[in-house]
Amino acid sequence: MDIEKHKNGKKLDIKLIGRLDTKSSPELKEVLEDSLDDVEELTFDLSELIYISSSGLRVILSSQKRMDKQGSMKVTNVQDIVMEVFESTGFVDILTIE
Amino acid sequence: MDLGDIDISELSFSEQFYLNFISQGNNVRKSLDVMTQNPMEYNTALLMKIIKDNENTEYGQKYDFANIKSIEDYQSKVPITDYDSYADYIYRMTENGEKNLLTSYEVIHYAKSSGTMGNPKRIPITSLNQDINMKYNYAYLFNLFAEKVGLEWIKYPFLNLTELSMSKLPSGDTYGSISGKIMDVFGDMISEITTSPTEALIPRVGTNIRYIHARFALVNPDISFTISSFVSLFLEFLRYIKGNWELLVNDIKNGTIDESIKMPSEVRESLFGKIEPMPERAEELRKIFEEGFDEPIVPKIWPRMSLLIGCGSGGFKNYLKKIKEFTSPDFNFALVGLTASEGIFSLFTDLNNPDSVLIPDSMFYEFLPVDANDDYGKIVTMDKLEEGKEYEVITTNLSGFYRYRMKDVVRCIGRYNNTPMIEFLYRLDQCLCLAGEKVNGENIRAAAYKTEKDFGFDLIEFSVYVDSDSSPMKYVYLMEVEDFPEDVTKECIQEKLNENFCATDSVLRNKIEKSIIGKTELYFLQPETYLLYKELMVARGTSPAQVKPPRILRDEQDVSFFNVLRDDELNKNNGLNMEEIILKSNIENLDSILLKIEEFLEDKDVSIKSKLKLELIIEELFVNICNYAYEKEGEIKIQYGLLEDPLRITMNFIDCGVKFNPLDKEAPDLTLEANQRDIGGLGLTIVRKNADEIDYKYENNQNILSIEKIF
Repeated sequence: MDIEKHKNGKKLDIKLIGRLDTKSSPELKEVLEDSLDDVEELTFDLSELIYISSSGLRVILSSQKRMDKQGSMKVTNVQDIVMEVFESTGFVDILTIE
Repeated sequence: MDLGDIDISELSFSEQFYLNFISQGNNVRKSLDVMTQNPMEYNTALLMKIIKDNENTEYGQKYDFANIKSIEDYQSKVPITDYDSYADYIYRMTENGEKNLLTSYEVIHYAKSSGTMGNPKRIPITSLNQDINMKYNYAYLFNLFAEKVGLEWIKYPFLNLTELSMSKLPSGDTYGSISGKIMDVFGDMISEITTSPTEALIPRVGTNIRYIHARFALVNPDISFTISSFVSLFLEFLRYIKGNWELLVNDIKNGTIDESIKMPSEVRESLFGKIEPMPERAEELRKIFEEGFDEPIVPKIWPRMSLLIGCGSGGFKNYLKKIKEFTSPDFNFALVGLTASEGIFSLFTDLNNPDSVLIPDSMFYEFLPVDANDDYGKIVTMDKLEEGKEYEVITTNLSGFYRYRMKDVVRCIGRYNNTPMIEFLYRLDQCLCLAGEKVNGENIRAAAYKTEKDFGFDLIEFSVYVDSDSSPMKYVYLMEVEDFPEDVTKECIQEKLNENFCATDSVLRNKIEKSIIGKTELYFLQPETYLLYKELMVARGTSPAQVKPPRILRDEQDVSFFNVLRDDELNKNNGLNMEEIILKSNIENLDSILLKIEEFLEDKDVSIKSKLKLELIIEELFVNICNYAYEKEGEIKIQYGLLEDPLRITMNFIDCGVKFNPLDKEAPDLTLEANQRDIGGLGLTIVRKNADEIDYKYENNQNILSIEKIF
């Protein structure tokens, strides 16, 4: 999976390309840990994310929990296949999806 | 247990505290021995005392306790109840602080019941109830332990994995887990005699308590025992250490808390005040961990730890096996019997023995046979229990519940002196029934664990639901596993699981054999699914220590949750879910197969170049088989399926012709023309060049050639 980051002051945009699965989740987790310190607005662009697994969902959940305390987070351009996962797992109620 | 001439004044508070219990324990054991010889005498006396003491409560007056002189009177005047019968009273007690409604005894706390569904209940706990808890959970237990291992341990701290969080109700009473309230007796000393700091025992939201428990336990080599509400929590604790030891050891060495560990900043601050660099201990631990986990790790890290206290009955038995991989053979388990907020129902008769005996002075027992179909006329008292039979427990306790249906089903497994021993089987509100069979937690567990054993994988967690959309309806198992066995298909495991499940109940077997109930299905879940489930429950407000694995899924939402997290890889498992086409061994049919593959790959992320290479492979193989396999015409079966991670196609070419491995350089039939042989050889080179994997076997009179191509 590829991760593209764009930081602009207190805004951080992250684009995920490919599959967020058991193999790639730790990488994303690390990237977020290194990058979220002074971020107040986090946006995940999921237009090119074609798959998300349980481990991926855990990373997203923990990002949401962190951003709930230091600002806000949103998730954009969710593909159908990933949206189905968000709906069935109840993540639609936890995430802000645009 | 003879305490001899110990000079108490020389001892620390905690040592005095334990010795107090141990000495009390002598009397508790003697008294239990006497009571269990003649249980009905004591149980009846208890009932009469409860009736007398409560005749002036609102409930007691309503049901004329004053005129109840016998068990028969009691059973005819006082109704069987459930929580709803008390809800209004409890509301008045907790909101308005009203007293003497259900009980004249002093209410000191309300326990939160860890209900799997619905609103959490508030169960009153009185001081008498607490006394019984102290007697059996502490005095009796510590006495048994001291008798077994001596008194050294009383000097040292214990590891506490229970949660002590409590809130306050409008009435001013405390509300929270019952284990929390039991710890109250330690008062401020709690932080001195347990290793975990209050930041883990009374955690703030967002705190990684597993880290804190592990960190503070690892630095203290003297821990003598562990208390955990369910034994599974101890297993989780050990697994956490196994998976995170490097980070833990580094933090211990440097006196830091790794950035990746989540906790509110105030918590991090206050924890810093409690830690300091411990390079020596860190080195010690590092050496231990580097030796690996094949040998039990608990005796290396904590040489004094020799006891785990927790609930290990019913659904928790399997965890004990896994815990034993970490502990030495002489490690002890105090397997708490059936205990609930409503009271202690049974007590283990000895360490390392899950057999538990009813306690004649804890509550008044009644039992409703499960096969009585709710006919209250069949209710019996404890002296009438029959070995091997199943009963629902009905309790009259010391906290204001009278003839209260517990919905816990137990089996009588024998007698201790003259008192029945019981084992917990399942909860009544966790049963499934499709067509007259009754499937409960016990059946479901047994089938799962047997299957785990049959195949040698590690079953992390599992759930079951009824698929009522299929016809006929069937049971579906969802499992998260590790160490998935090689060379075994999911279908094979599913088949065995169905067999094991049927073996648990003859009515179930009968229905499945007759297709009244469909065959059991199995799907594997992605790794970390149950961790995700737990994290979501916690995010929604449930306390971590109270999240139980959702064994039986009834909620549509729960079913969707788990189903969307199925592991496609494991469920597909090497091709038996493949599509199939059967063609006559005629070269003209090549187009058919090429078209099928074209359609199959239409909406997949596959480059034109890859598709062309694949077609070359198919052409070569198909033509080869058409030419060599059959003297006349025969059939060729072609199977194909897609696998992910990386994306690739797998295909099988199967024919029942002459035994022939096209990977061999020479054609088997030397009467063939030379040019045909050459073409075969050349074609094979193309296949070898373009396929990522090629495999041949001859089985059941079939040539099976398999190829894989990564896109």
